[in-house]
Amino acid sequence: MEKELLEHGLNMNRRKFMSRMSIGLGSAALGSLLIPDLFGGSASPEEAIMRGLPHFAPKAKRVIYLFQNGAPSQLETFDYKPLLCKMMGENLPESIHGTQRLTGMSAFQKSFPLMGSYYNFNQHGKSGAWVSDLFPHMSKIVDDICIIKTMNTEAINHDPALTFFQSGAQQGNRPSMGSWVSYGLGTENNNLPAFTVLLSRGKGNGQGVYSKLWTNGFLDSVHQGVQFSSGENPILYLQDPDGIDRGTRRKMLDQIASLNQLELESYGDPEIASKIQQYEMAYRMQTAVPEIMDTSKESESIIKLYGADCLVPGTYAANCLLARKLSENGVRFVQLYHQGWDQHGNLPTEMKGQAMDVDQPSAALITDLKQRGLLDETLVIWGGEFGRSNYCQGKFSIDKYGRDHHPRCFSIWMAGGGVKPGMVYGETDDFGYNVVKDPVHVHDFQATVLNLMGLDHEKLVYKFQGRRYRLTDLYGKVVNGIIA
Amino acid sequence: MKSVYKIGNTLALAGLVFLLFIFLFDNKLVIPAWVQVFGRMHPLVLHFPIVLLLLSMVCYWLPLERSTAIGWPFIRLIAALTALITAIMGMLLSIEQADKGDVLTWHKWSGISMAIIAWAMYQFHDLLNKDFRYGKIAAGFGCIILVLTGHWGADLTHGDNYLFAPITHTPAKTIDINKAELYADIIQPIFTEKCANCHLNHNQKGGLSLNDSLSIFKGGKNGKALVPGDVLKSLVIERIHLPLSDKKHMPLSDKPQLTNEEIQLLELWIKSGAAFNKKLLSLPEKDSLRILAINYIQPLINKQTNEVYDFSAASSSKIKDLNNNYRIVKPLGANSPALSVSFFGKLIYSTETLKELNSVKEQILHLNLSKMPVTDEQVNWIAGLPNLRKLNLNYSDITDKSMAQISGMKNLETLSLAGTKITKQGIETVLLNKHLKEVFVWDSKMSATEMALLQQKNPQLIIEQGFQGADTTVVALNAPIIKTPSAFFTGSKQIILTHVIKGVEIRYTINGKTADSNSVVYTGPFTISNTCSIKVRANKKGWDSSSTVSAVYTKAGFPIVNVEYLTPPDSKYAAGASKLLNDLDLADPRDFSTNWVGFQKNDAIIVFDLGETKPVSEVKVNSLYFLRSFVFPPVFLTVWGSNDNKNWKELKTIVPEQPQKLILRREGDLLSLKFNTTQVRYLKLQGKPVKKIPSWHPGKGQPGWFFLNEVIVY
Repeated sequence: MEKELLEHGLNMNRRKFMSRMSIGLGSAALGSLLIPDLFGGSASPEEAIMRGLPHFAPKAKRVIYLFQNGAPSQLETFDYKPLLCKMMGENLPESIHGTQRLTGMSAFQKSFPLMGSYYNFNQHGKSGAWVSDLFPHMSKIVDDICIIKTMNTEAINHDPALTFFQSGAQQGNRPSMGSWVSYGLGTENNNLPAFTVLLSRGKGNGQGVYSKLWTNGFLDSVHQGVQFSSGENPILYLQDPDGIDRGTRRKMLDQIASLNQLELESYGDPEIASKIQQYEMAYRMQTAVPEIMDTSKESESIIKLYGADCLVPGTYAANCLLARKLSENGVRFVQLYHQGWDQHGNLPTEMKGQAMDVDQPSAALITDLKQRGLLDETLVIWGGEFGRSNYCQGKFSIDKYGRDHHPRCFSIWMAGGGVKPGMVYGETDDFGYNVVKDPVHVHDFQATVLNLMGLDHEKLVYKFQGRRYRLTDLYGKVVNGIIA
Repeated sequence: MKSVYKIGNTLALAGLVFLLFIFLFDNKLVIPAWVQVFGRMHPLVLHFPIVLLLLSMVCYWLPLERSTAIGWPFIRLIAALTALITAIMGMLLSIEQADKGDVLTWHKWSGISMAIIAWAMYQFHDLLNKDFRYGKIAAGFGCIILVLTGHWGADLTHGDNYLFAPITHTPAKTIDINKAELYADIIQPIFTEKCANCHLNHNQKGGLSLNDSLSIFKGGKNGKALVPGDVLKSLVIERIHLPLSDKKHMPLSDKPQLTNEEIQLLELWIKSGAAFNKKLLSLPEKDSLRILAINYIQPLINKQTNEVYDFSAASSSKIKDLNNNYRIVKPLGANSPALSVSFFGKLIYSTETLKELNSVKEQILHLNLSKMPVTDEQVNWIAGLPNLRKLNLNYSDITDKSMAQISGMKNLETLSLAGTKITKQGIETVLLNKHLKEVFVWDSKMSATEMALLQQKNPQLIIEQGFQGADTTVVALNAPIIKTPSAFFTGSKQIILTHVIKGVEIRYTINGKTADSNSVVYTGPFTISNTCSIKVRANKKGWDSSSTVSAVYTKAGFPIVNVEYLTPPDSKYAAGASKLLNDLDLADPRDFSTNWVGFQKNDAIIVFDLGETKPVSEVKVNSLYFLRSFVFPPVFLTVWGSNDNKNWKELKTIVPEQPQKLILRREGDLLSLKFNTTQVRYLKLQGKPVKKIPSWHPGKGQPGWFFLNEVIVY
């Protein structure tokens, strides 16, 4: 199949042929200059990608991305700033604020009173990392994770920021990170999609997630994220309808495939080839998926590890357990979203609820991967799309305060998959507003994730409408400081 | 024409003499400035003689009539003259250069020779024309000298090995961080990349060579290139920092410049004493030079992840053939001969599918057999994989028997045995393998204490025990699930309770009291026939009791045959008004756009027709409570009764309690209006929405909403 695809790609279609003719023979010679290895023997990077291989030996084989949608505050999670408590209520100094643009929600406030964390912080583990009391379980695994305190982004609103994190651009329709990984490495288990998506929602103020976040963009549609929902049919339309058995389904698929094959031969549209592949994979998924979704055989030990909610479909805990099972079964990229982290007001109460949802399952996932010997080949990422302001949004209140969006610094953590464990990377200023040392831009983060997966972010390129695209656009530098 | 040759002869001879003169006395000559200008035109003028000389020499191979060949001397004359002029210019230029590298010397000698040959070929052209064989020999020799001169000249202007650099491949360099040398791996590459064109090997412009520590310390004609420990006195640094427009700025403004990172490295290196034989890691951990340097060479260190193996790669077609939907064979990375093999799908897995891999036995580095029914016999085959480093046997069927074989595997580093029947004995056998670095034994037949002991005995090894707290950790049980949601019902209703965790004890009450350890134990679905509220909670040994969940089942009363609105509901919330109030369907409080009837501007006044006269004693109104969306309880609710739909008698008025602060509650409340039993056919309900929302609410001053969904009459 791949070979035929390649041949189709190499065959000139009519339009290309005509345009070649108009330029003349000279372009043929020029062509060989532009593709230096055309007459040489060495494999071009494009070919390596076609084979679905990493550019170099990877540290991580799989990714589980626990996206905390809505942007959890760094100041109540991992970025301990006692100065904010000391200066509680004082105005944010102009020198710290600088020229940062603010959202319309707090830009017109008369004052920007500094607000310290409602929750206490303690140091944990051998690394002595500071973690807020909201996360007792995560505190126990700090020696397995690498906390990055200096993430920064360009967007100040949820949707652009989220889209930026996932696709490298603030506008939609570029391929998502999972799609890029699927494109670069292919699937590990042919019976499951390479990129899956799991959604859950906390009780806190939420922000929407849309399917554009797991779109394949201009990449082949086999790289699209497949959403597993919590209902009876985790994947919509996967089940055979009543009255259709697998034999009938098989016959039907064979017939459709032969029709599609005819179509492919006459038009050569690679999207038809993807369609054939997808039908076949869906057929195999009919047996593979129920096996994975079945949690009835999970031991008491696992249930206690993740918390009782892990058996309640659609919860974050259940999704964490499912993520482990998908990953264990060779799904390259499992993307979770947990909604409800947008605390513009009533932060202490809402964050407590959110933390209750994610603390134990997130920590459990690390422990579970570790005890199966999978942590060193699975990269786990925990974090939101930006941070939150160090000043109080709205009415100043010590137990009901809110925080507005803040793009200049925020904390995420990564674990396993070749990331240095027990490390805190980067420093922010005492106000928790600016990066002082080792900033990590979203593009740097993306470059690093790809690097850990064995992909060179500058070589993972797709040409579309005359322009070559990368996940990291024109930017991004691998953060070597966190790579083990 | 003759006079032309005459003048030419004289000029050529004079030129030759002059050339030889400066060649002999170049060290003693002092060149005035205007002559320097003349000398510097050498790189421009040299192109003329090259072309003319080539032309005049090639003619010996062209099929020319001897007579026409007579015409060539003129070309030879011009060629000889320009060659001499170029050589003289070159000599003048070379005198400017204080220090003469090897290349310059070679270029000088060959240039002078070329000029002499050019002159000679003109002078003796008659002789050469007589017999083309002499001509060919002379021309051939001339061509060789011409090419050599040109090549050395180009090396001078463009730098060493300029010509062949694109085709001479130097293999991508990698650095082992533990062996990295401060000078050889960091500083020297900067010199080689940015300064070598002029200051390395044969090129020693300004007298400076960066070949080795001795010549670096010696410096050039302008002074010491570097003074250990003193950045300010080091000429290298000074030159780098001069403005780009300054003639003395280095590297020359048209050449690649040093990056800031490189400049910093260079400065720190000089500051630290410019050591030539120091290991990078011997610097203190927080040393800026060390940190910067590690960062600088990081890309080279990373590329090293493609490990070198002593086996060759299997052919890609063979690898392709071994792949199917249930067995994935993939190289670890592009260009890596090592393979990773994973099996998926228990039913397809067999000894055969393993043995099919015989042809790539050598290349397999990672083998993932997690959840496959691997038997001890199959381990024989696995143990025969010579290069296996990572073996995943989680949840396979292996036992202690196969551990002896695994302990003999020479390259095995990581072994996953989670969820297997392995006991302490088996692990002890496998630990005889001293190459092992990590063993995963969670969920095996070993106890936590055994694992801890084993770890103590083998501190060099990671024995991963995993989560062992299943018995000691007390976790809160989640709430039971009431499968039958709150509802209105007629007749009786079956109630089903369940829990996601097996072996849980569910207890419940149906009288509204809190469920506790004395309440009824749920054994299966049960039936209710009256209005009741159930409360349910779950217990399990080793777990904290769950929270309580509840549901309310409201038995329907007299059927309402018709609903008539005397005042219109708000048009936005009137979609289902005709049937919503008597369909016995309990509306979802989250969806008030279609399932609830809403009033804001006017009171709700609605007449219900029971069809015939009934003994009525109570009316229940399901009213929405959702303050955030401005939905408040009604200010009052009044019921009137009538038998003719004309003469009304007030039966009851209630004033529901109004909230005093913003409560985040979103529920339907069954407001009850009880009165003495009255025989009526028609009932009229009036509900008044809140006129002005109180000041504590964000919508203060605006009118509130009254939403209702169902009316029950008893």
